[in-house]
Amino acid sequence: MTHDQLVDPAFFSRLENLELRARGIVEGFMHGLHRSPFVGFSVEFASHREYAQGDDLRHVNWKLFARQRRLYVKQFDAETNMNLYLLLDVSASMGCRSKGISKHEYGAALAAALAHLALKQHDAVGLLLLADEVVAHLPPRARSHQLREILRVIETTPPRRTSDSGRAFQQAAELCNHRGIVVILSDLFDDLEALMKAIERLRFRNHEVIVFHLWDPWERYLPLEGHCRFHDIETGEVLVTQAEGVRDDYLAAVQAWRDQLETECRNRAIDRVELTTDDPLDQALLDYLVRRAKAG
Amino acid sequence: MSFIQIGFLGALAAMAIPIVIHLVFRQKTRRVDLGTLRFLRVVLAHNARRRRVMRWLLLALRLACVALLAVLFARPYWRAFRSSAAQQTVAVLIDRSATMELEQDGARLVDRAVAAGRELLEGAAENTRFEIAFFDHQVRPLMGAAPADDAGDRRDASAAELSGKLVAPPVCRGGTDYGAAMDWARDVLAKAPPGVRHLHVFTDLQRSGLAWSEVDVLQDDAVAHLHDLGRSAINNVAVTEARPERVWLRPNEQTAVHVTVHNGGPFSTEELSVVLRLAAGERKLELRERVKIEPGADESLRFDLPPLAEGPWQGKVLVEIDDDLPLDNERYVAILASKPYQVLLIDGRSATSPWLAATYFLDTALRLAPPGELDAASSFEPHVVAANELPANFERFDVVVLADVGELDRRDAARLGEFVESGGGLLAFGGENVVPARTENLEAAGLTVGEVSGVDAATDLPLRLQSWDVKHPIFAAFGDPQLGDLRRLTFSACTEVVPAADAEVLATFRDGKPALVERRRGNGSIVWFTSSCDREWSDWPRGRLYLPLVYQLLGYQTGLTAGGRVRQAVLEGEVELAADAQPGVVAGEGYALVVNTSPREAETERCTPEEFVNRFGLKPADDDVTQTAPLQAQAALGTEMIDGEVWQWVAVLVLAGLLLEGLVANRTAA
Repeated sequence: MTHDQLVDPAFFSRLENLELRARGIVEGFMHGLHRSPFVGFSVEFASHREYAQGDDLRHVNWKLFARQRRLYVKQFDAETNMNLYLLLDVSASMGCRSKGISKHEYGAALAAALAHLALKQHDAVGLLLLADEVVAHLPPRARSHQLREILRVIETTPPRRTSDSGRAFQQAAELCNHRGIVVILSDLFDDLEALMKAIERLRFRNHEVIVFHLWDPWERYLPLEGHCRFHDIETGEVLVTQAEGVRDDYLAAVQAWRDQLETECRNRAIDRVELTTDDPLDQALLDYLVRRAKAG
Repeated sequence: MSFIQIGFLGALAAMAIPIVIHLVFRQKTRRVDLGTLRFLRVVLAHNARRRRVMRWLLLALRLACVALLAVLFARPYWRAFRSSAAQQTVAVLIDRSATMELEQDGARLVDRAVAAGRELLEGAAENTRFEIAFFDHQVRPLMGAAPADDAGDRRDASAAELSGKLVAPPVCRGGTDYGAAMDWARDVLAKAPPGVRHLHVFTDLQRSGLAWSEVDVLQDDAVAHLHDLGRSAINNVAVTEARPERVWLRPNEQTAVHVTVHNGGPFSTEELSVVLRLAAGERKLELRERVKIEPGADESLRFDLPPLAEGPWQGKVLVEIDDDLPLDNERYVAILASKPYQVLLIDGRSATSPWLAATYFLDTALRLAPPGELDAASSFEPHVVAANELPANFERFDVVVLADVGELDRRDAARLGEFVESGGGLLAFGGENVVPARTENLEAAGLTVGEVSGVDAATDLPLRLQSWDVKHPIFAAFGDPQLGDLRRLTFSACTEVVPAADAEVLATFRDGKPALVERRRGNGSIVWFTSSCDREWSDWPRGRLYLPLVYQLLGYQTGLTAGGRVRQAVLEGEVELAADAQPGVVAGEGYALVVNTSPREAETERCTPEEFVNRFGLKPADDDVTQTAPLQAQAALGTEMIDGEVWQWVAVLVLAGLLLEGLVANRTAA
């Protein structure tokens, strides 16, 4: 199995077992990291020092030895334990599916992968499923079977019909007691002001907040032709129109909203990462690692 | 606007198709589930009014496209064109050449042609416009006499009016030139208003009339109707040539007349009597020959004339036979037995030695013989006098030449002016005597061509002729530089003349000074050559151009360059003759004009209608549909277009509509 396959949403959407998905995604991502500038993930490389008797030979930099004919060992920063809060939106709007995988499934897979990755670094991982309120809550733990718990909660919690992100995030902020990284996986289709206020509470509690803003390609680009009957999954509202006739204006409206969202997030020092359900997942994991490094 | 294929208008019902499609597709929309419709809602709310307008515009465009397609297949055309299409223009050509004098069933062919033309006029539809012309070697439109309306524009004469004017000529004598007739018909039909165009030709299909001139083909849509009126068998004997060896000779000289007789009939002529009859006043001369001519053959004869006494001998050569076409049984002949042109050379610089006289070289050139003698071939007989010894009258002279004459007695000058006024020619050469102080009498008598202002002597370079009117008869002989380049003539001086307003400068020197100037006075003409005619100012009398130029100058003043005293003309268009010119000997001003029928008319062989049609690229009526209704019916079958059809424009509209529909549709949300 190649790295590209492992991080390809089309591939992991065929894997029914969420744990398998999570492992596959992380393994694929790590496989890719060997060629990346990140030389470690649980410990950070700091510097070299000359080899002294008793040093672990695994840490000898053999390439450097080959060049300089002197032995050096790598020094790493000490490991730190982080709290990772995964806030997954399970409202009905996350059920939008245009290319085999819904935003909910994409978000769940991403959450699982992040959890798996964090747990491998011995970080504590918690989970909150949000809709019109906090639907399910799993406090952060670093124990080995935490991943299984997380996956179970995700799999067993059905999507909610309605959403009230503001309220749900407010509740979530109350539940994220310890400082850590808060990863929000949502389409953010809600009142922006209320949403931002709620997220602000998370920042107020000194959490690093990463928003994985999930899009379905249909929602993002409206790549449709002809007469379409558009259904709002949450409200059941119906609009009939010719897609190509409104596409330009639709994209302009989406862009305006994205700009507004981006501004709001930047003002609050919130990282927002846009993902469509056909994007590879390694970008999301990479963003998480960068953020974690800064928090650590 | 009307339609050729009205049935296709039923396709307008297809306008319901866009509406049906709209309704059907409205029901068959694709379901798309989205997480939110907030963006769509904003867009649709914002553009609702615009979308509504665009939707209706789109529907209108689609309906218009369908409607235009239906109209396109129905083949619309403008009613205005239709009415003009119903209007016909008929050009009628009636042959009035000499052979149309032939009789058939007791009537001349031309009479039969006129009768047929009248029938055509009487049977014409109401909207038919006629253009009628008789033709032989000339085209004589009948409409030339058509009345004009108040605005001065020519209006179309009615059929009844034309029928009244359509009268056969009393005698037909002209040649046949179908080319000229077809040119006229083509022009007339080209100027005709839109509609059906017909050409009716009433002729005897004489073959000799086919190949006279090149013509452009008739318009494609013009339908030709050829009415063959000719006779199949014609018994005709004709005198096709009667040519004197010399038409102008000296009194008591002899000459001969060459005659050619053509037998165009089916039988040989036994002992055909050919007679030459000439008369000069009371004196008559008749010579007779007998000849046998086989069918289709020509026979040449020679009549040797006795010495002819002075006078104009006029007459004709005729064949004594009774045939179908008597007009060509005779040809007119004229022979003038008279002195040459009498030229009075007035010498303004008489000298003891003839070599030094101003007229010496002129006299020698005109005489063409040793001094004191006159060459029989010369057309001029010069008489030299001094300027102070002029004859009592100038009537016996054809032209007077002033050679370096400045001072002339006032009375002599006045008499000379009267001579020119009455039609005499005056040719003046410059010289040292022609200066303002001495030419007062000449100016007073109107014998100059302008103001004489002095002598202009060349300083460094000699004077040379630079330009001249190449179309003038004087210079006709010098059109080809190989025959003599007038620019080679050099002059050391010239008389300076400021041309009068009514004078015409025919040639100039290099510096633009007039070299040859003509001025009309009464019936005569005054020509001034501003340099000398002797060696005073030039050596040109010794050059080879002197004699031809002097002959041209005097030939112009005497009429020799225009044809001489006996001129020939044939009724076939090469010589411009009056429209009513008849064969015979006509007296002109100082000449006799012998007019004869065209010898081609004696060739009565006929061509076939197919040859005629092919020769002029005609579209015969039998191969075409000439009536409007059948044309329209054929158009309805899709095989022929009628005038005024606008389907091309409708097609353009359809394409434009489809293009616009595509653009609007791509920018319109339902």
